[in-house]
Amino acid sequence: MALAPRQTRFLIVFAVLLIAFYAIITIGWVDTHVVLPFTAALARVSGAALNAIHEPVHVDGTVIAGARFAVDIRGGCNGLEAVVFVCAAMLAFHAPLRKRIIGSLAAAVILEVLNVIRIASLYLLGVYYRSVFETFHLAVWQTLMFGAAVFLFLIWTSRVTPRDAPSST
Amino acid sequence: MLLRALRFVAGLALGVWIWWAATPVYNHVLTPSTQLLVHVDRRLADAVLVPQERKIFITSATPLPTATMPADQLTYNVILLLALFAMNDRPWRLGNVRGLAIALVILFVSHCLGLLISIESTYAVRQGVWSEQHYGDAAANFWLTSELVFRIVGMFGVVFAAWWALSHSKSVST
Repeated sequence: MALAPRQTRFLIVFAVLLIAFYAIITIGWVDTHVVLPFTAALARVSGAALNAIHEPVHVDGTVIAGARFAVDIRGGCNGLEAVVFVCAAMLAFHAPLRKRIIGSLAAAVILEVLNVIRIASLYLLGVYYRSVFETFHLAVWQTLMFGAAVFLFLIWTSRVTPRDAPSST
Repeated sequence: MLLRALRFVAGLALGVWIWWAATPVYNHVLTPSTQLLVHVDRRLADAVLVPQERKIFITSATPLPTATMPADQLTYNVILLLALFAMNDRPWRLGNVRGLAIALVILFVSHCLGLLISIESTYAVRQGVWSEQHYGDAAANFWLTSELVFRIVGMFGVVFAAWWALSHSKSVST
């Protein structure tokens, strides 16, 4: 199954951007001054969401703790990996730059909202269904996050691709 | 799009079940191929990979330290692959099944490489004095960075690229 040159270019640019963006968020200064404060803010929002549904927790930095369970949100659990993924895909796609940037920002916001649900649900699983916590933490939610990223990308491509454009996959 | 989402969720559920049930058997398939790759590195030429349920144990008749690799954490991207192919229009048509089969081969190769990278990273940075004696700083950083890239974004990037390249979905075009 041969790929059209534009598709090949898309995959190459996607791979390059994915590695480049990931490299950026692992730089020490970026991690300290951007990723960690962002993750702490995410913990506060998730903690507030849990308190709002009458699940009493307190937040200390990136740790959400209750009477019976605690979660520490670390790299790989702050949703940035899925954000990086979808941004790389959208920015690599052949579309007007403005649409690519708006699409990336919108997808990032949606994915982080989903990530708050992920964190809250994982905390609740840890409290009430500890036996399935690891499966959901590792396999289910990670797949859902990247699946959501692909879905957002597909929805976005269906909007930015002209209806009369030849479909080629 | 709603129908696609439902098919995605169905594929995800099937994927979780297959991944959970098949991992112990799959580790027996993964181990011999990866061991060949590991033996290319002379430092690990005597390593013997032994699958044990969801993990792969590394042992040796030489002073090489033992290690345990959480192999299931390197292979769960198959769940996303199955979910994405289930999401395609008419998922049981021949073209889609053929694409999935090719993608699974690509995934197997990536799993061998991912396991190799994790083993190298483990021996480069997590074996104390042995690591310091056998790996320089640059090599240790290289393997650790490679492992992080693979485990955080690479394993899903491979799935997306394989699905994108092999999928017949007509709603997607570059």
